[in-house]
Formats: sequence, structure tokens, C-alpha cells
Amino acid sequence: MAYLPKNPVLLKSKTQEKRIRRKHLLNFFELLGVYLQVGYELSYAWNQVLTVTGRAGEIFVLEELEFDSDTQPLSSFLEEQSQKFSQRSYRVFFEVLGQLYTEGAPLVPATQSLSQFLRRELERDLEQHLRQAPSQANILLLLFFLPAAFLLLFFPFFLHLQATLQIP
Amino acid sequence: MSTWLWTRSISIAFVSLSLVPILLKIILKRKQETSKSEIEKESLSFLYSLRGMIGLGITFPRAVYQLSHQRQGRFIKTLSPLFHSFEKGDSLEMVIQRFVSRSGLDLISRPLVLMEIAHRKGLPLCPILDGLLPLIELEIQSRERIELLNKNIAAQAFLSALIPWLIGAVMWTFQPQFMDGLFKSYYFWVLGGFVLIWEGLGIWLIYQKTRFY
Repeated sequence: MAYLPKNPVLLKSKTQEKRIRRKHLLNFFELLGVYLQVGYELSYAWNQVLTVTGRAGEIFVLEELEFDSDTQPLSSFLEEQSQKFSQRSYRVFFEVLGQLYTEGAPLVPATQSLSQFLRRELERDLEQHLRQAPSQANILLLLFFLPAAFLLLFFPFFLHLQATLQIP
Repeated sequence: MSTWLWTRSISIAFVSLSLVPILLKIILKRKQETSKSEIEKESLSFLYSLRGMIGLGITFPRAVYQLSHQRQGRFIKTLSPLFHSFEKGDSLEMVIQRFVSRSGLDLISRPLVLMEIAHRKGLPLCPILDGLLPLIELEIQSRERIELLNKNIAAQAFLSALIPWLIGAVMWTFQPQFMDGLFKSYYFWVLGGFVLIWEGLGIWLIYQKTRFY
């Protein structure tokens, strides 16, 4: 039963799931940036942000970004995510963070630019969605309402014709 | 009643009567959603005020408490009753958790939870709010635009769905011989049911296509 969606009625498409994942990732990097700004170490801040975002109901981030700091160092986890993260386009984030972390470089500007990139992407996606949605809805209207209208209009005539011509 | 008077068919009257609760439920849900989105819009001004107060050096619990005692806006009216328990000694965490579970306002709940945790951990709140506010604003703006788009599409779908039934009714009034054959045969139920299901499927697909999240 594991393959069944959690809520089949409000089934979300892959695009919608991707958007939610991006939103959670954006919140994650925003908060991570704040923790780093205060002076927290990345490994500790990472887990703290996961706890906070998890409690705020952002489960998608928790699924993939959770790691056990006792058994695995963050650098190897970041390297792993740079190859395995579900969305290919975001894998580079982890690669950059991993490199900077290993080199001991400041991480705040990196997290800020990552969240800025995600925000811009969200804005672009929204604009594109608003541009495309009316035409997609019109196609669906034509597909689902026009045949039904024709059926309702012409079927009585067909029946009347059948009765008049006495076709069995 | 009017359907029965018009069609003289008990079965059609029964079907239309059974549609009344469904329609009422849809209208009620729509009203609730509109009210929720209005409250969420108001919550943005609350967050901006909170940002201003925290920027001035007022602590987070004090700022939330003071703002919840304003007498304007539906958002404040949702928030302020929960602060009676805060006055009695409950922690801010408990009050916010209660607000999250009772209000169902996802957009404002998340930042409040994050702020409360950040406050407890001693993190600076202004950068968090500065990061969250544009996001919330963008989300409210996007919801408004999608809502407007949905309204337009809903109007189109409603008219498209209504036209064949309307033409059928006009035909039945002026040329009943065409429609009598249909009403007497079982095809009417098959056809009517198929059309309703097909149109319902169309509405569901349009809803799925136009939603952003």
C-alpha cells in the first residue's frame, strides 16, 4: 500500500510536489543563513533548522536532508546529496556548500545567494504558471464541455428522427 | 418543489433536491476560504507591525501580546482570545501552538512558529522576518492572482456547462415533441449521468491544472 498517495482526492502532480519541495528548501536555506549569521557551526545549525522546519510542518525537507551527525560527518553527507538529491538542478547547492565547508570559507553569502536563487525561481515559475494556466484551462473546457453540449443538443433530435423514420 | 411543478416528474425533483446540500456545502466552503484568505491578507500587516516593534527593541512575546490587544481586524480577533491563557501564565509556545491547531491559517502559522522557536533560542528575529516577509507577500500575491484566474475559469466553465441544459429547457418549452422522446426513454438518465460525470471530471482537471501548489 506504500505506493498509494496519502490523499488521493487532492492528488498532487509532480510539478506541484516539486514546487512544495522548492518552497521548503527555500525556507530551509533562509533559516540556515540566519543561524550561520549568528555564528552557529554549519553541522549544528543544519540539524537545528531541520528540527524547526519539521515542527513547522515542512516534512519534505526533513525526508532528504536529515542526517545523523554522530555517525556521518556533514561534509560526506553534502557530497552524497550533491549526487543523490531528488532534484538534479539543486544538487549543485550541496556541492558548493560542501566545498566551502571543507575549505572553511564563510558560508553566509553562499546560503543567501542560494535562497535568492530559489526565490527568483519561484517568482519565474509563478509568472509562467499564470501565463499558461488560462490556455490550458481553455483546452480542457473545449475537451470536456463542448462534446457534452453537442451530445445534449443533438441526441433528442436523433431520437426524434429515429422515432419519425421508425428505425428499430 | 419548483422542479416538480415544472417537470411533473418526481424523480427529477428528487435528483434536484439531492443536489441542494451539495451546493450548500460548496457555497459554505467557498465562503470559509474567502474569509480565510482575507484574514491571511490582514495577517501581513500584523507581521509588518511585529517587524517594526521588534526593530525598536521590543521583545517578541511583548510585541505579539501588544498587537493582539488591538481592536481592529479579523486576524486580531482570531488571535486575541488565545492570549487570555497567556495572561493566566501559559507560555507563548503553548499559545502559538493552540493558534496553529485552531485557526487553520497555514501562511501565518509557519512564521509564528519559526519566530517563537528562534526567540527561545536567542536568535535575532529581524533577519528572519526580513527573509520571511517577502516570501509571504509573494505567496499572498500569487494566491490572489490564481484566485482571480480561477474565478474567470469558473465563470467560463459554469456558462459552458449551463448552455446545453438551458437550450434543452427552451426547446422543451417551445418544441416539446423533440424532448418528449428523450425524457420517456432511459437514454435520458444515461446521457444526463454521463454528461454530469464528464463535466465534473473536466472541472476537477481544470482545478488541478490551475492550482499552483
